[in-house]
Amino acid sequence: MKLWHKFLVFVALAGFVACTEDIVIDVEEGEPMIGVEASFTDELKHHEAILSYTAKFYDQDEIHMVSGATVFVTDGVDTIYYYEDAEQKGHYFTDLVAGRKNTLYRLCVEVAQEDGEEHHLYAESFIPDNVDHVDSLVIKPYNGVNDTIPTVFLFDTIEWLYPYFQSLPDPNLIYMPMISKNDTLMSDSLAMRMMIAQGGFAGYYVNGPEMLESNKEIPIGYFRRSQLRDGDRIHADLCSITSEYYLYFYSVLMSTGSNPMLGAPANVSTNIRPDGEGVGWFYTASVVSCETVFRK
Amino acid sequence: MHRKLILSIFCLFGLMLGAFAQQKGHVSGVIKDAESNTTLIGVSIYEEQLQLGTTTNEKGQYDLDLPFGEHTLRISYIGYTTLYKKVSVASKPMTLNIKMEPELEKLSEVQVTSERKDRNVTAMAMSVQTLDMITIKKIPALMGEVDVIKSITLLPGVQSASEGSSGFSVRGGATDHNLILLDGAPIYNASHFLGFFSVFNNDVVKDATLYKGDIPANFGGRLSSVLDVTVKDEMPKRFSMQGGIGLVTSHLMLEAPLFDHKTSVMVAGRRTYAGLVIPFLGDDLDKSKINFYDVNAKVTQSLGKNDKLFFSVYNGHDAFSMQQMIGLGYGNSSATLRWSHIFSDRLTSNLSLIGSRYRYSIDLNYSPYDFAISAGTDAVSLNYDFAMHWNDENVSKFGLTTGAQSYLQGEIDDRGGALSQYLQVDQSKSVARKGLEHALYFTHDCTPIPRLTFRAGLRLSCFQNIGAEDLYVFDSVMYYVTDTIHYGKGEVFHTVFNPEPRLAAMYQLDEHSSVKASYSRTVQYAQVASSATGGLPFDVWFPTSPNVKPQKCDQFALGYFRNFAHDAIETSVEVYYKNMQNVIDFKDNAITYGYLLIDGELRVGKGRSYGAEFLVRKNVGKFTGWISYTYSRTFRTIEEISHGREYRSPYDRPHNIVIVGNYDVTPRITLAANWIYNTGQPVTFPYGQYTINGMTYAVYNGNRNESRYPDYHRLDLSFTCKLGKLEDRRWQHEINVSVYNAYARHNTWAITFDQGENGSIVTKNMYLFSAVPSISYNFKY
Repeated sequence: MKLWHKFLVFVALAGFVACTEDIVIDVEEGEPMIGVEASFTDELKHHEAILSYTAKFYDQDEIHMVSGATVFVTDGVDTIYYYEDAEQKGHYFTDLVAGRKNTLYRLCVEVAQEDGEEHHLYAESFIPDNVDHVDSLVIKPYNGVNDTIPTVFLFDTIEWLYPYFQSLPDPNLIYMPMISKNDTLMSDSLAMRMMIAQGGFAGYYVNGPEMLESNKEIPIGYFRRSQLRDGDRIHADLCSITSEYYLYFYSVLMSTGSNPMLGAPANVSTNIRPDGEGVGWFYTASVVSCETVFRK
Repeated sequence: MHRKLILSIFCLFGLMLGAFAQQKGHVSGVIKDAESNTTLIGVSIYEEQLQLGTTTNEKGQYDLDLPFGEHTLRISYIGYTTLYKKVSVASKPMTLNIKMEPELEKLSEVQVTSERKDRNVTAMAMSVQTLDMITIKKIPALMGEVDVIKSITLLPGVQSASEGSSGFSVRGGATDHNLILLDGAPIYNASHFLGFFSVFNNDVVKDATLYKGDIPANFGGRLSSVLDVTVKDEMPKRFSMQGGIGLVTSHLMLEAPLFDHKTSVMVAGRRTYAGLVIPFLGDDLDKSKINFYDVNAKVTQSLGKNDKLFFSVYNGHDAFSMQQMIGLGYGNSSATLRWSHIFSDRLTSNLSLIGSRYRYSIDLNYSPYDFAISAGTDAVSLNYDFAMHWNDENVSKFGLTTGAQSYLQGEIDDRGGALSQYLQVDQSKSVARKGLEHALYFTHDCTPIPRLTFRAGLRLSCFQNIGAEDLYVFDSVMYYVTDTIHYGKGEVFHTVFNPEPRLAAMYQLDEHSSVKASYSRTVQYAQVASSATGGLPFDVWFPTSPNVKPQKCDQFALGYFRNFAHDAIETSVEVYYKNMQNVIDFKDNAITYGYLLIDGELRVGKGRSYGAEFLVRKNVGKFTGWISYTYSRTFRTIEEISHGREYRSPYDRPHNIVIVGNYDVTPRITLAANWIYNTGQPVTFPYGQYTINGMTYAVYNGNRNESRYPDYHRLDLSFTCKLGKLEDRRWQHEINVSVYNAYARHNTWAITFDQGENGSIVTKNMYLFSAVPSISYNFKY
């Protein structure tokens, strides 16, 4: 509610009244920070960490990656290292390994600078609980009685994605669906993601008869029919994320520059510590996957 | 023997005193405009031989003690024919009511204040200015809509919070540090049309007084200023109307006497028709809506020589919607019932019952969300004010006020159910936070010796939080909620008292100059939850609490006032220093609107402001106007913000220059121009960029407000032509053509950082206005 009403009202108001023109501003000088984009989930895969330096504001050059760093994650018992890819500098991968649900992990990054100084960065994040499986994933137009759910967009039928599963009783779980079609993620951008709080349906059979009766269906994504061909594989990862990651997501969306309506701008939230030495996010999640095939 | 001698001496002394006292008689009365029957404030009543005089108060009343015998009083007032009245003063108090005739040629003169010509030198008060409607109507305005709040931003020490906004900053204070009153009722959001216009309809405004400092003790509850707007309340002699038709709005006011001039009724309305053009902007906007209206009404009832009853109401509303998808509505309502009573020629009182409401709502119907959220503020108060005129050298004012406030933080109607499904919103958690606010005050003006006047006053204020409320307790490190304490309905759970002394002094160096000094402490118990500097319709007011202490301000001011050319030219310089405690600001990435845990998003610290205001003003002649320069700085120091170091407040704009000019080319034609310059608004700019998850973000060094927007300046021009016969006072009409921002400067409203090609960041200057011409027709009958 908070982010939607703020964002949409701002768009409406700005659209009503403002004009824009390009401008060049004098920006501040500052030391580059290390950016950490790392993830560790309960999926059995090669988990990735991308390390780079922040660039000057108007810098159009290639991103400067951080090479030769030591990166590992630990739960206090086991330590799992990320190894730098020989082809992609700044990209670090673990061996084939999976994290555990309900476990706190600490990411450590050690970077040796040219002047001999070492940077030590760290972040902590918890892999939340998740359901064991999703019974099915169905793609279909909406045919219920809820007038607020659109069925058509620009003369194109909307096909909604409905997962069916028994949800956990914890009302504090937050899901972030990641949808791909034929192994291609629909969007890389965090700004295009959706967040679903389980508060309204904890303990229910999701999209089952009880939710249907009270018009509380939960779609997790959609396609326009013109985007779909017969036989397309639709894959959905239901990622159970932390509430801190949700707040990070919120700050990402609000990062629109200075504006008298939106208050003093600030860095996008980060869980990289110490404060002021790193940006980015150490992301943890537990993931349950499901798939379906589109048939006309 | 000695005892008898001493007793005799005392008796003789007493008789002498009594005899001396009895040799003065008392003259009092009311002075009005002969045409409109409106009371005149600041009329000079002067006995030239004795060099004794006084001026009329806000009700047009005057009191003067003169020795027995024959006297000639000179009654003078700008724009009116000077009168000479012979009076014979004896022991019996005498009432002399006077009607003054306007001088036609002088009606077009600008009256920056409605006071007597030398009032800035002779009056006790400093840091105060009154704008009357003659002045306000001559100022070129956006879309031709003259506006009280836009006009006061032309005064020294006052700046508009941002382009297009009705929020304003006084001596470095925040926009919520200003108490805005309409006939005594607080107005929580004084804007229409997203801030382009204010809620004040000029047809009904009698005058607007801005106290920038030296705030009278009967006012309280805000840190920086009081804007006291009064609605016309005098008995009209006959039915009259006035109004105007402009490009964006039209307005009309009607007033008439009833029941043998014992009752007067005034009704006024204003509405915009900007929404009529929406369908022409494109098919995708055909279901969109944009409009505002407001209505004022006032009834004045004379209950006899000593009693008058006033009832004043206001209602206004703005509505915007886009394609029935997003809707925003907000508005104010207020009502004031006042009984004015004259106990004697020395003691008067006003008993007022005041109510005020502000509400806004946001309606969203955009799948999967279908909800409405509303918030607002209600206030009701009972004020009893007295004024005791002991003699010309001693005047006291005292009174009390008690009231209740309710702050609705956010009421949610989740029609589609998506909020609770997707975003963990609990509808049962919407909260109205309540409080009681009381105050007693006393102030006394004393002139112990000629030319030296003192004022000492004290306002003792109190605020109480009352339930039902869930009070969240936060830890002092991470601001996580550690406890929730539930208070039942009507339960008082927090009480604070604050003394607010008000001191002032004036020494008149000679008849053309004076020096003044003042000190005031003000306390604020309610503040706005807004991360926006310009003020928004959906700002949320919330009360002080155990988590958020009352804000306090100590202001010191010193001024020198000098007039030239027989008071035709006024000059002044004022310096001030403000020390503020418990000022609030939001932490980085704070969640603001409609957030129940908002207390945990705030950080509290201290602030300071200082500055100097210079003013040169010409009040008479064909050419009138003023030039002002203000140097003003304001800073905050709040832990966790800007690394805990002192940083510029969002209202820190060091240099402000205003030039206002009006020229009466002929009795029919007037030209007017304003030029305004402000240092650019403080802003936080990034120093780097970073790409993550497919998006590029700006990187900041954590220091807030280190940079500035480009400087702001604009020129407004206006041409007014009176139509018809000038000597016909019954029917007057005119046409006004104006250009706002005549040289089309693209003054920055916001700067945004957008994603450009190849993931680069593109900086955009958002501006609201280029040159905006307008034409309007105004009439008065």
